[in-house]
Amino acid sequence: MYPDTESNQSIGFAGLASHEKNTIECVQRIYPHRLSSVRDIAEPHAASIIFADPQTSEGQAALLRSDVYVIAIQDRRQPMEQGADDVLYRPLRPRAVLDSLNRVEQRPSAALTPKLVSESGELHQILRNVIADDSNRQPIVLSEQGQPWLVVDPARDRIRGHLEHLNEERLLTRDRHVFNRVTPEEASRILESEQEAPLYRTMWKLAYELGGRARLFGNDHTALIKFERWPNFSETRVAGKFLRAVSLIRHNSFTVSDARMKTGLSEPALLVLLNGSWLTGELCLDSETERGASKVPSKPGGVNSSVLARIRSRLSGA
Amino acid sequence: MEYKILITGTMGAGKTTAIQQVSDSPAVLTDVHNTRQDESAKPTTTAAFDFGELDLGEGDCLRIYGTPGQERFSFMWPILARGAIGIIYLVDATRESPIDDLDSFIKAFGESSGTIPSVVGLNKCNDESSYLAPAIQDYLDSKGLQWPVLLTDVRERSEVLELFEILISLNEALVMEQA
Repeated sequence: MYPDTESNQSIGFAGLASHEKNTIECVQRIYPHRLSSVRDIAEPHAASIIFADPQTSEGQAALLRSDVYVIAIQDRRQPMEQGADDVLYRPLRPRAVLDSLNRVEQRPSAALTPKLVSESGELHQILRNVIADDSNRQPIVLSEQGQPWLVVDPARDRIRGHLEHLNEERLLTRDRHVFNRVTPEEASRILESEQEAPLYRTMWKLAYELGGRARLFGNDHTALIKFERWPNFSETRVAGKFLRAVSLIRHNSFTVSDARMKTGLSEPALLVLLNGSWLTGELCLDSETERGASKVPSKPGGVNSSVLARIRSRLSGA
Repeated sequence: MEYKILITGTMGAGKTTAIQQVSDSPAVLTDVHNTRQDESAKPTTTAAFDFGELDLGEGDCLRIYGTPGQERFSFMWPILARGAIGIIYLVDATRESPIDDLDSFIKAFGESSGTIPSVVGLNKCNDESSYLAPAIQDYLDSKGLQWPVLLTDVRERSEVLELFEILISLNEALVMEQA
């Protein structure tokens, strides 16, 4: 059910844990400028949009109502909740909540008309473009000979389909790829019985499998690379040894060979970091970066390389 | 010459523990009985600021300051931040609204937030609060602040060192950029 945008919409919760309610309330508070409208929080019986856990009796009751828009919050291993207007997976990410709240007002007629697009190139480039495009987070469906084989949904951080075919060879083979943008509702119905996985983690897994055998960001050895955003270190398995590398490449543009020299990483290790960050849209070629778009520190506080080396040495030896 | 790094965060976020992990000498603690049990249930809290010190040789030292966590001391934070080479924002994942906590600290630090190399350490994280790392990253993105977010356990020295390592690396990057 799509709530009337003329009337005041409000949000209610049915069967959610308190930290999940906090996340949703927090999105309303910290992203008012990115929401199509900020809604009040109300008791479920008075709300027009309900975030519901289908595993609870309150959630089930909400799903039976026809007068509200229901966003189901469920675990990834549970089958897609069919009675819901939208579905989000745990753990709840604010960005997913934000996208979901903005989808409420997209009536079916306003949804994108599926449009087939054909692009020649390597698959990883298409995946990367879809993931890195913040201006369009609609899911895509990749097809082969008219048959869908992969659904990529960046807003929900999901990838579904014949994931066993998503290997190095497939990633790197130059081909003509046919894909179309679909609504989240359509995406949820396509390949629903196939394997599903978190998108971000899957891209990093591919980067690890690839090791140092390819440079997804291109073979131009003079090209400058730079981190546009920090990777999510809790997902990437890249702990301490990559922290320094990202710090350096976040501030300065380097060629790969310069980056290798400055960071002290072996080439295969550096390529895992760069390929993973490239696939997830965190690494850019320097010409792509929007200089000045974000606040980066500008003052080194009077410190020099020798002092920094001594701080590092004292900390590690203290 | 003296260099300084700030560790900031709400009451109970782990600032004092983090300083104790890296300080040369026993950290100077200014704990008193906590009269604000509504903000944090811990028995004592920092009334002025804690600090630890590392002798860097050649007459240089690194001072590590822990800001007092109570909001009524927020006027001190930007003063303490002047000339700092880094700020570690410790976020207590068990609090009711950790992102709002971080938001209030960033606002209190004002302009320093954009100019001093900074890192966010998410402390006391468990499975239930694991959503917070990407959530905080999203929040920082929305503010245009490109800081790393790390899950950390400040009881582990190695994890505190990782936070410092980031600040050192960010400073190295700045030095390199200006060279």
